[in-house]
Amino acid sequence: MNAQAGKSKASVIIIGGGIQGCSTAYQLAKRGIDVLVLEKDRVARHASGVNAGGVRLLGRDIAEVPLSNVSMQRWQTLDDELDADTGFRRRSLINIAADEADIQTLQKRQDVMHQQCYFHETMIDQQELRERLPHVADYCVGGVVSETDGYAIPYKSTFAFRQAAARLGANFVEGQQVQQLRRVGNSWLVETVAGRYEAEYLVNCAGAWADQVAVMMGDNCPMTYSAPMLMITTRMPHFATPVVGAVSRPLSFKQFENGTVLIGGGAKGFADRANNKTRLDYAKLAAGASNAVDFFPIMRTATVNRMWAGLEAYMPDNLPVISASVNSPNAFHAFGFSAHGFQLGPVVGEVMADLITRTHSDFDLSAFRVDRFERKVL
Amino acid sequence: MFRYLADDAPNKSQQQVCIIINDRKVTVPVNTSVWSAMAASGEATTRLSSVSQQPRSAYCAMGACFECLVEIDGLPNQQACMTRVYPGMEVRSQTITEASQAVPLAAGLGYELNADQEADHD
Ligand SMILES: Cc1cc2nc3c(=O)[nH]c(=O)nc-3n(C[C@H](O)[C@H](O)[C@H](O)COP(=O)(O)OP(=O)(O)OC[C@H]3O[C@@H](n4cnc5c(N)ncnc54)[C@H](O)[C@@H]3O)c2cc1C
Ligand code: FES
Repeated sequence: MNAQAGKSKASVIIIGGGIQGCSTAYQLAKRGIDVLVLEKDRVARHASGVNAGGVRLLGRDIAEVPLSNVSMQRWQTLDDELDADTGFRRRSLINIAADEADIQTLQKRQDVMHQQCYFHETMIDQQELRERLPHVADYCVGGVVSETDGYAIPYKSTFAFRQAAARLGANFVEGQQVQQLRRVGNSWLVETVAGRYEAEYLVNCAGAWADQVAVMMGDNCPMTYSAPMLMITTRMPHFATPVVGAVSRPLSFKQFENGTVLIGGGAKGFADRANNKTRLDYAKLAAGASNAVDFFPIMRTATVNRMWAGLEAYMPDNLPVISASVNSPNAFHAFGFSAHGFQLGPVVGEVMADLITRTHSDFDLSAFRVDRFERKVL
Repeated sequence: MFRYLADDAPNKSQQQVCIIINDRKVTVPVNTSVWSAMAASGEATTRLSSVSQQPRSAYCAMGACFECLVEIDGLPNQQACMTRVYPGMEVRSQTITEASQAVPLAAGLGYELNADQEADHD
């Protein structure tokens, strides 16, 4: 029936071949479930292949900490687990405090974290900051560090999940944009541009397009999408081992082993998801670059080599949707990761597999319900 | 190895500028490119390949290949073949490799290579 080779029937169909879709496929295949991933373009073509690779537990929203914590444990041994090279490096992550106000912010955060019995974020003083980051600007007064954090190579990580899933029997079909979903009896009928598929369960891992897939499942939610931008320099002499962020400024960067420095920070370009396109906003990139120079004077000698953006899904509260569908049976969502979903990849697969095979997860997912923005109408 | 063709028929009115190439003062004709200035003064190595550490020099000499990157006034990755000399310019062959460590400077921009790298480079 379907144009491309591959099975047209599976127990679970995952829509979207980003890290969430691939990780979910891996966990399901590992449990012996017959799983098929439908990807409209190519696996890792979007956010999961082009992100900043930040594997960050530091500074997570409290609601995300339990998930992020487990995911961080998984990252430490992920290469062995998947028998692949994700490029993960544990480097610690430091958020720099530029002034006393930042220190106050950190102090408040620490109080909240300690109340919840989370102790993975440690405040450091100016001297320790300088020891860990000898090139930091003189005025920086301190910061906060999470030791387990680091980075990985995004497309390698996503591919690692894909390959591991495929070895366990998961099927991946690319070039299959899902256009229609229908309930027929106890099954889902999935129509793509090139074929028809059938499954018992559906998982929506459609990234920046996930609201469209959600609507096909009957769930409406206020997801938006945008195009966060990144730039990478040519090789520089090594000056920063930890991954670096800032408490109150849009700064984020990491220096890779080859000396190149990846600069992010959340500046957004222009997103055109209908055409898989993004356009860069150079003024904002320049502001990001000058931020990096403010914190690290050596960055004045940096030469930017490439700049790009990826399409990412955002929720109003910057928390993902990890949820069963409220309006359809046997349908699940994992999207809206709001520019920090890469780190969560390993755990999201486990949670989705639990929701499907055990009908519940041990994590409290109430903050991630798909209908959390629905208002009661009288 | 390299010389200016103009030297064959010296034009006494040709203006000269003084620049510094790898810590050495040299005098070169005004408007010449950094690469010409380097080559004519016996400093044809623009950079070491950051991967293999092999010496590199100008290849296309017209701005396309980026083989000729040098440090100019402390800023690395400048194309020697596309940049004109100006008085007082400080040019340095670029030696940033995957192993380079930045050494914090007390003040001012930039970095210095540590002793090990200097040795490698010779
Ligand atoms: C520039 C940038 C930097 C980032 N930096 C970080 C970081 O440092 N750390 C971090 O943790 N996170 C980061 N993120 C966020 C992270 O990349 C994402 O949260 C994560 O990759 C989302 O994965 P996903 O699988 O949900 O989405 P995606 O990777 O976007 O995958 C969704 C897939 O679904 C497919 N699809 C959509 N609709 C359909 C359809 N109808 N039919 C079939 N297939 C469909 C798409 O083609 C796409 O391939 C960054 C994101 C960007 C863009
Ligand atoms: S020699 Fe090719 S760019 Fe300078």
